[in-house]
Amino acid sequence: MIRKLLLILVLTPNYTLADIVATSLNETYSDTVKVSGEFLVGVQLEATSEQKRLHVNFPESTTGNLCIVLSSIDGKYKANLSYTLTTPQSGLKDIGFVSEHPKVLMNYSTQEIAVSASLKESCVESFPSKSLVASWNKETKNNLILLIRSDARKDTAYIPNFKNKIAHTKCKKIRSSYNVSYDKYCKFENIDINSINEIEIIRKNLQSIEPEKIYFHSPL
Amino acid sequence: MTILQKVLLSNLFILPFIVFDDVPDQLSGLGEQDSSKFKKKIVNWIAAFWISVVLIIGFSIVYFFSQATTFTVSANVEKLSISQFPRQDYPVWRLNNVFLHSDCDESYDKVSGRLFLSHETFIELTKIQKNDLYIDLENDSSGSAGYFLTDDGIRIALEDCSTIRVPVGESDSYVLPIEGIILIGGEIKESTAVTPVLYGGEISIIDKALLINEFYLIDPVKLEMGDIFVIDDLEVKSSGIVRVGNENGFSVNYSGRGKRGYIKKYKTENIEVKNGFWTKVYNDPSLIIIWLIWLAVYAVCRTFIRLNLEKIENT
Repeated sequence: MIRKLLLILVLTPNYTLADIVATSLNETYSDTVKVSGEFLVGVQLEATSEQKRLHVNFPESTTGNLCIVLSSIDGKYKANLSYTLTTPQSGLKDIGFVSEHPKVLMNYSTQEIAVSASLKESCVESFPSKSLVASWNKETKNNLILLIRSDARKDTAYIPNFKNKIAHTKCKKIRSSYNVSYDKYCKFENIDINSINEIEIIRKNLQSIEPEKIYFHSPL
Repeated sequence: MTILQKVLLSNLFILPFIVFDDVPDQLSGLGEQDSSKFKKKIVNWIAAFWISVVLIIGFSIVYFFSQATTFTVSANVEKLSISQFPRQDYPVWRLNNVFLHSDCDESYDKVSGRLFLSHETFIELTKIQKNDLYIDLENDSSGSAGYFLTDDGIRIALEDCSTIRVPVGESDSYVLPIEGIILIGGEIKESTAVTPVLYGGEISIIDKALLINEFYLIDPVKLEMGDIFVIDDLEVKSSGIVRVGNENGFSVNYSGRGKRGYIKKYKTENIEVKNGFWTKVYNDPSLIIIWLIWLAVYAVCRTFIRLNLEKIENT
């Protein structure tokens, strides 16, 4: 009963965000839903609690089309969300997402639903995108988590030129569940997310593999 | 306590004896004011019965809900993962003419010798179809995965990610002992060209009967293509063997003792495998003996109550 009340409190919008306007919501929950198979599935801050209220961190004066893809680790839940930023946004903002499957979302931990937020010309077509950092809570730890699906034996994430030095972390396997959408996480601890322009993931699999690069939306 | 409560409690107390008409309702007349020694004896026998009820219920709860089970697993798989059971060492593996890729890159050394693994190392054995066997070693804490001691006495330290490729020819056959927390099968991932999977297998549950020093076997559970199986809440490390030959994947046989096992399937609820209430009732003969003994206790209580009632009537 307490969980249900909490769910209603957390997922029911108590205000409207006129500056961030939802333009499209495509949300599915199915035992047979296809997953995209993309390498990068989520870029998010580590949440402090399991309450789910979707936030996105906007660098200073961000405008444009905000595209969000949510993917559960088991591949059953997927959502494509589109928003238009009608006025410039800055900082960590609640985007007012209300799920049609709140009970389903409650069954996953915050790290079991990856959030990939980006700015694009259009969310429909595969335009090049610049990533934004998302979060399931307003209160977060300063730990940046990348959720990836990788067949490589070793993945190491680097932030080049991060405050005049290179920050790096080893990506670890998620061993607790049946992983369909993603299977590794790379965690940067105590990081200022507004200072990141790019993250490179170096991959090893007994042969050279092209590194994966994630580009972040920079302040204007 | 009101009179009504006293009557209700009194009737509840003697209920098991008045449901049979051979013990008359006059028992309900027993109260604190009754002081004859026969009536006291009757109360004592009823109390003895209830103590036996509490004991058998308590015993049954402990037996049904806390006992771990021995799982014996035999399967044909393409992938097997092992992680360390607390405070246990991995067995040392003897490997001949294998290719050691330290740091998981393309450079390698061809070596023969013994493989010593660190406690925190995760091991993955992968052999897709009839290809070579890959032993992937990973230490999440970025420490060394262990070391390889060659027959020449050279000690090669292993990076946090290391892979050993074991060639498997037409006539090659290897047997590797395995110990730790064992997970068999690989996850099915979409958009992946080759995914190592479990082909098939069987889980047998063997348990020890309650009082007699004998084991009983429960009907085996089948593992199907693509399943993953792991034993949860292990009491002791699982142990067994892997046999690698020139067949598709490799064979594994191991035993582990835990409260339950889980079969994980692609985008489906996990299936819990355990020796549950009904399987224990159905398969454990000593459980039936205990309940028969309890029925005998009940019969003895009834007999002595009736004898004492007759004595009251005769006085």
